[in-house]
This record gives sequence, structure tokens and C-alpha cells, in this order.
Amino acid sequence: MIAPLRRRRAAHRWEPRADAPAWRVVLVTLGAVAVAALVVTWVFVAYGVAPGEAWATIVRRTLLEPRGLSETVRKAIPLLLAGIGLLLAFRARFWNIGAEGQILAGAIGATAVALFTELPGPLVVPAMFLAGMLAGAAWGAVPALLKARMGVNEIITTLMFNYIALYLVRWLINGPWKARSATGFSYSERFPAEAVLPTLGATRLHWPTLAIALVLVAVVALLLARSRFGFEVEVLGRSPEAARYAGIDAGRVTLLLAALAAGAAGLAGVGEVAGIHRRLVEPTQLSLGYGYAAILVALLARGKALAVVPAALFLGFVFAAGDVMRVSLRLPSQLPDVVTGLVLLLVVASEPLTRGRWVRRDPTEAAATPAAEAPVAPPAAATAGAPAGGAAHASPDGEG
Amino acid sequence: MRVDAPGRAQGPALNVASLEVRGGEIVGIAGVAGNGQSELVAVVAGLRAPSAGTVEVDGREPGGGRRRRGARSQVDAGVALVPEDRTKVGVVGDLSVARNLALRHAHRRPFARGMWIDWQAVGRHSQSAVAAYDIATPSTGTPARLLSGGNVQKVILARELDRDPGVVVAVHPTYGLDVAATSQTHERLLAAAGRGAAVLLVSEDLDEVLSLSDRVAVLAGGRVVATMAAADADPEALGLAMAGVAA
Amino acid sequence: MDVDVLVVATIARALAFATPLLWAALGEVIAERSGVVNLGVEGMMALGAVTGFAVAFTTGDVWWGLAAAGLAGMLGSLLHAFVAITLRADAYVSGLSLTMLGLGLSALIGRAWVGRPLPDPMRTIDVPWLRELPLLGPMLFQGQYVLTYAALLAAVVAWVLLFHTRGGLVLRSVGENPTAVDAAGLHVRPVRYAAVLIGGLLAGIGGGYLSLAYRPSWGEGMVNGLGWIALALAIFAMWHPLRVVLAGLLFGACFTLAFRLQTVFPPELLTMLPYVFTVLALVFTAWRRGRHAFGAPEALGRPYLRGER
Repeated sequence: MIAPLRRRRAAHRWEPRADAPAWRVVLVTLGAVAVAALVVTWVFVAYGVAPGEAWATIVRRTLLEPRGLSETVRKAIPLLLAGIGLLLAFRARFWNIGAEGQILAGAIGATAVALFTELPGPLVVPAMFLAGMLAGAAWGAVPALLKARMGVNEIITTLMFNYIALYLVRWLINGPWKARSATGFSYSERFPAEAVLPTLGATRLHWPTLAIALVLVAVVALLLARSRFGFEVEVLGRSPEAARYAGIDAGRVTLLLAALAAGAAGLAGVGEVAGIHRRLVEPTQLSLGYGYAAILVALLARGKALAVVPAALFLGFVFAAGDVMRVSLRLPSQLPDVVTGLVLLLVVASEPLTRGRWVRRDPTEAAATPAAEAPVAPPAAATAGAPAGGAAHASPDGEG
Repeated sequence: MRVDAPGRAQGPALNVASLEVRGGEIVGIAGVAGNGQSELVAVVAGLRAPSAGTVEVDGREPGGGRRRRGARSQVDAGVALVPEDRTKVGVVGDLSVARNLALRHAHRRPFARGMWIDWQAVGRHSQSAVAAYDIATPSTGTPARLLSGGNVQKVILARELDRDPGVVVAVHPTYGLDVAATSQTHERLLAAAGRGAAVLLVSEDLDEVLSLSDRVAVLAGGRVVATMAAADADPEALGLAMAGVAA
Repeated sequence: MDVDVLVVATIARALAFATPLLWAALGEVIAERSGVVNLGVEGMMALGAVTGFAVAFTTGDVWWGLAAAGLAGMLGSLLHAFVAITLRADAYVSGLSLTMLGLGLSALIGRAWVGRPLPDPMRTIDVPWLRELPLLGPMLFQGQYVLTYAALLAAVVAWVLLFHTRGGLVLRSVGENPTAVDAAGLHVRPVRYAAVLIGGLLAGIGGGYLSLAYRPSWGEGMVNGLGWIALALAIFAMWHPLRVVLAGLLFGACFTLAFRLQTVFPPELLTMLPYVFTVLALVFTAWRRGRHAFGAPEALGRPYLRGER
């Protein structure tokens, strides 16, 4: 089936680095983004849109005009919340890709409070945030519990929970929670005024959620940098074996992290229903794939809590730019998905670049190799990193 | 410290009848690998709960017998472990020397302050530990994986022995080390026993076991098949016991 | 309804439903046996489905479409192989990005074909002679697609190749202990490349089955989590091609039975069932074998770098 090949000696050898300098990380990340921008430019050309004009329109309508900027920022809110949660989870190698479902769970929790409780006015919004957070946390805690106690693969369970949440919302708005007025499209009754979040001026920027998100980012940054819990997360994420030796209860830490992460995503869901839609709507409109894009936010931030802010803003820009492309430039609405996937791929691919470099072998060593047989790989492309992420999918103790 | 009938664990069954190590004493474990050494170590160090039986330190079970706390109970009870796998278990390669020196103790004073960690205390401690244990490292901020094997072992010894533990478990402590590092490790273990620690030494190097230990226990098939004073033990008798032949 | 008829109809439907899962899960078993996780199955299936449909629609020949579907899946997996094997980047994230990219790209490519039925879709066949068998005939040998039988055949072929040839031994060794394979003078990376590419090919064919046979059309939500269910199936079957068939049929039967409850349950909750069932299947697998994942390739998910343990 596979012919055994004789091994050739590579002309370069891999030299790992102690740590990646920050400028290198930033440079590599910007490089990935630049490549994605080039691809988008090519798409413009392919669709017969003048690239210069298209970019100018996008920049004007997402960054320069106040209304456009507010759209960029308000799209970054759910990304911030879900992203900071995922950053935590990923630090301990808990591969939660269920933020999308947790956002929906949070939205369900908030809707339940908004439509079906009789709380005094000022308490409604706090109760909605609390309910949304708890609903999200519960939604994320089930896969975490299954992982911690039984070793069930969390990648697949969290993803399945996304679909389950999606159909749950669909069932709610078509069945028990369906608005009396709803014909054609399905949605719930409109939230009462006290259950709607205030926005900045005439924009859709629901600032209370933004404030919560920023505080949460700061708290997580502090926890990671200075708390015992943060240290335990760091040890667990880098070496599960050493964590056991250090007396760290991996199950407890994982469960706590997963619940925190999912709770943060739940808050994002509250913001979307209470700040934007003001009712429970079709799940694919409620979250435009924020839960998946948040994975990229967390990875772009590379474990640094504060870096989630620029990463979320960048993706907020991608989403807002997608709207501009669709509405103003009449380009397909799927472009942002492609860009998100592409940037994710490029960022992953370039990740090893930050962790080491190829150096030429000693000439006496390399002399044994005809130059033509050396692997044709520019330093920028052929790189390697330390083994990463081995704990999640199917390592002996992480499988289900 | 004593281990009583930890019973059948998973894998090679460990069925130590009873093993007692007194303060100030070094007990060597001799035996062919796979006869229950790693299970014994895991149980004593709290990495694995025995399916039956107890581990007692100073007449008490670490953590009051609560099994879910894992190695932390043992750390708090003063059980030090120099693990077999230095680079994967003993240190976190990506973390700095300073943080590795605080690894098993970050939940206690002087490093912990409530739910926070006093990184300055960690830094100060690492400076003195690097000096006291002669650890060759560019700085205390250097990731542990850039250190040589001997220096990684020094980091581990500094962390495990510096707090005058009541029990020290050392597994293959000199495997792969050079002569200087080996003799230094031996001195550290002898010094720990001299300060009153009960030392359990697991090693495949029979000479090492015989030269350091006061008593030697032979493990075969998960059982202590023989215990003898190191002075009386000759390699031939040990070899027979290790092979499971009654002495 | 007569019980016999119910059983016969359920199994016949289960086969048809399970076919794309079988293709994709078999592909993943081969890839993962070589030690490379590919979470891009969903994306590769989507790429296969849209490419297959576009080519079949344009050429009017479903078989060209099917070839294109397999090729598209393979191209997707090549991307993953390059990033995860050559660049040694994180295989989980790489696969995930392949899924996101594949879903986005397929939606973009397929815009022109949304809502247009395939004029000449793949036809069902009746197996001569065997179709006459009582019970088994209508259960297994009437009104199925060739791709269903091909999937069963592929499972047997994969089993023979993996467990009864030297190449298969090398592939499995690469997944268990790449260092030893390397030390024996064999290349690790080409083997992994081959396994991942075969995985992509099979996932693409699974996608092609959806858009060329099962529901001969194209729409954005076509794959709708089937790729992820296939990943779960590979685990549920403990990385064994023949068990994939059994597990796939079990999955298929459960889904089909659930859909018979249509009169009792609202459709949204019924659509949810495959996903709930997948979670339950994973929990069952974990419960049955305890914390130790025997059957999982030892080096799964770890990039290979010579000189490293």
C-alpha cells in the first residue's frame, strides 16, 4: 500500500526557541491577516468590484462613520464574551467548541426571565443576565462533566450541544413561545420595555453588555496572572502529568473553567436578545456564528487575556465588513465565513513560526546531502512546533 | 511512614503486606521493573488511591483518608516525591525555574496569600534555592526545559527537600546523571535522612540501593518478599529474592 | 403496521441514512489510525457535496460528479495534512479551520445552484437474484444506491488493508509509535499524508452521496453535523472499519425509528435526536471501557518531530 522510502538527510534542522518574542507573534499574526486580505481583494476582482473602491467603502462604513463603527463594536461584544471564555477553556486544553450553543442557551434563559416573570422593573435586566449566564454555564457544564468524570470527547459533545440548542430555540419559537402575531417567520413575543438593554444614542451598541464584557476580560486577566487558580490552569494546560504530581484536581479545574467559559458565552446570548433583537428569534439570526468565530478570537489572543480585546474588535470588523459587502457591494453573504475560516487556518499554520526557526545544518553534516534533494521549503513555510493539543481528542485519558 | 496492604490496584497488582520506613532511615526498594514499584510510589505519593489499605505518615492518613484530594494531601503531610520522569512530570518545561520551584507548594505560605499568589515571594525563594542547590541556569526566569538533566533534577531536589519533608520518595534519582550530579543527589538524600526524613529509594541501580540504604526491601510480583539490613544484603541473595526464589 | 414490514422498512431506510456516515467515518478511521485527527470532516463533506453537485449539474453525469466530490474532499484534506503534518501545527485547530473554511467556501461556491434539483440524479438499484429473497430482499437489496453497497465493500477493503497487509501494519504503527517506525528506516510523514488524503477522499464521496443521491440538490445546511457525527462514529466503533459498519447501521436504525415518532413529536425536536443520540453513544462508549481509551491510536493528535519523545 505504501512503499517504504529511503530517508534523506534534511539540510535544515529545527531549533526550538525558549519563548516567542511578542513582536514576532504580532508580526506573524498580522502576516496571516494580510494574506487573508489579499484573498478578499482577489474575490473583489473576481466579482468585478474595483478593489480600491471596495476597501475604501468597507473602511468608511465600518470604522470611520460613527454608525458603522458602532456596528463593528457591537458585533465585537458577543465575540469578547465568548472569546474570553474560550481563552480560559483552551488554556486548560478543554476544547470547548460549543460557545454557539451556549450563546443560544443564554438567550433562552434571558427570554424566559423577560417574558415569563413578574419582577420589579429595575431587577429584570440583572435577572436576565444572571439567568443567561447560568443557562449558558449549565449548557457547557454537561460536556465538561462528561469529560472530567468519564473521559468523553468534549470536542464532539460540545458541538452536538450546539445543534441541540439550535433546534431547542427553533422548537420554542415555533411551539410554546411562538408569538401570536408571528406568521411566516417564527419568533417569540417582544420583550417588555424594562427587559430591553439601553443603547448608545441611535445605534445598536448595547453598552451594558460591553461594560460587562470588558470587566470580565480584566477579571480573567487578573485571575490568570495572579491567582492560585490561574497558576493551576497554567500548569494543567502545559502538562497534565505534572499537574497531577502537583496535586491539582484536573476534573475540578476543568469543570470550573468550562462553566466559566460557557457562562460568559451565555452572557453574550443575553446581550443579543435583550440588546439587538428584543425577542427570541431564529437561532441563525440570533447568533451569526459568533460562537465559532470566538474560537478564532481566543486563538488570535494566544492565551493573553487582554489580547482578546483587539482580537474581538478585529473579528467584529470582519462581521461588519461582511454586512457592507453584502449590502453596499452586493457580494455574497458567505464571504465573512470564508475569511474567518481562512484567517483561522493561516493563524494555525503560522503558529509554529513563533516557536522556533529552521537553521542550516553544519556544512560538514549537510555535505552528505545533494543540495537538490533538500526539502524545498522556505523558512517561512516549513516550520514545526512543540506538540500541541494532544490532550483533547483522543489521548488515552481524554477520549469517549 | 507505613504502607499497609494497599491491595489490588489496576495494572500489576500491588499487594504489599506492610512496609514501614522510620524517620532518619533510608529503605531501598530492589526489584525488577514492573513488579509494583511504580504502583507503590503512586500510592505513597498520593497520585493513586489504594483500592484497599492505608498509607500513614506519623500515624495519620494524609488528608484524613479523603481520596479525591490526590497528591495535595501528601504534600501537606510532608511527603516529597522525586519522580521518575524528570522532564515530563517533575517540572513543567515551559514554565520558568522560579515557578517550577513553587510548583507543588503554590497553595501554601509563603507563596499563597488567600486566593492569590505572591510572585515576589516566589521570586525571592527561587533566588535562594538556585544558590543553595547550585542550579546552573541563566536566570530564574528561564524555562525549565532549557536546563540540562542534572540541573532539572537539582530544581526538583530543591523543591522537594528544602522544606524538611517527613517522607521522601525518590525514584531512579540519578538515572542518566553525570558523576558529579549523581554524588550530589546522593548527598542530598543522605542529608534529608540525617535531618529525620523517612526516605524510600526506588532504583534499578543495585549498587546505589545498597550503598545508600539502611534496609532493603525486595518487591516481586507486587509483594514485599524480603526485607533485610543493607549490611547483610549481598547482590546474590537480593538477585534470588528479586527473581521470586525464597531466600 | 405489521412488525415485519416496520423492521424491513426501518433497516432499509437506516442503510440509506447511514451511507454518508459510513464513508466519512471510514475515512476518519484510516486517518486517525495513522495518528492524525482530522476535525475537518464536516467541511470536507460540504466541499464534496457542492463540488459533486456542480460537476454533475454541468456535465449531466453523476459519476463525474462523484469523482469530483471525492477529489474536492481530498483537496481539503491536503490542506489539513500540510498544516498538521508538514508544519506540525495543532491538528485540532487545523481541522476545525478546515471545517469552517469548507462550510464557508461551499456556501460561496454553491450559491448558483441553491434550490435547483439535479436533472439526472443517481438511480437506486435492485440487486438481481438477491432481491427475491424473503425479508432480506426488501430489507437490503431493493431500492438502495450503489454507493451504499460500495461503502460496505469499502469497509471490508479497509479492514483487509489495515489489518492484513504490510502497508496497513506500517500505517497503524505510525499511529501507535512513530518513533519506532522512524527508527526502522521508514518515513512517517508520507504514510500520514496518504492516510489523511484517503480520509478526505472518502469524506468527499460521503458528501457527494448527499447531493447526488440521497437528496439530489444543494443547500447550505446539507451536511448539518453529519461530519461531526461521523467523527463520533469512529470513536464509537473504536477505530475499527467493520465495527464502523455495525455502529453506522445502529445509528441509522435509531434515527430512522425516531423519525417514525413524527406524529407524536414536533419536527424540531425530532431533528434534534441524532445529535442527542450521538452524545449518548459517546457516553456509552466511555462508560463501557472506563477511563482508558483502548483502541485509540497511541500517538493520535501528536505531530511527529524526529528526536523528540
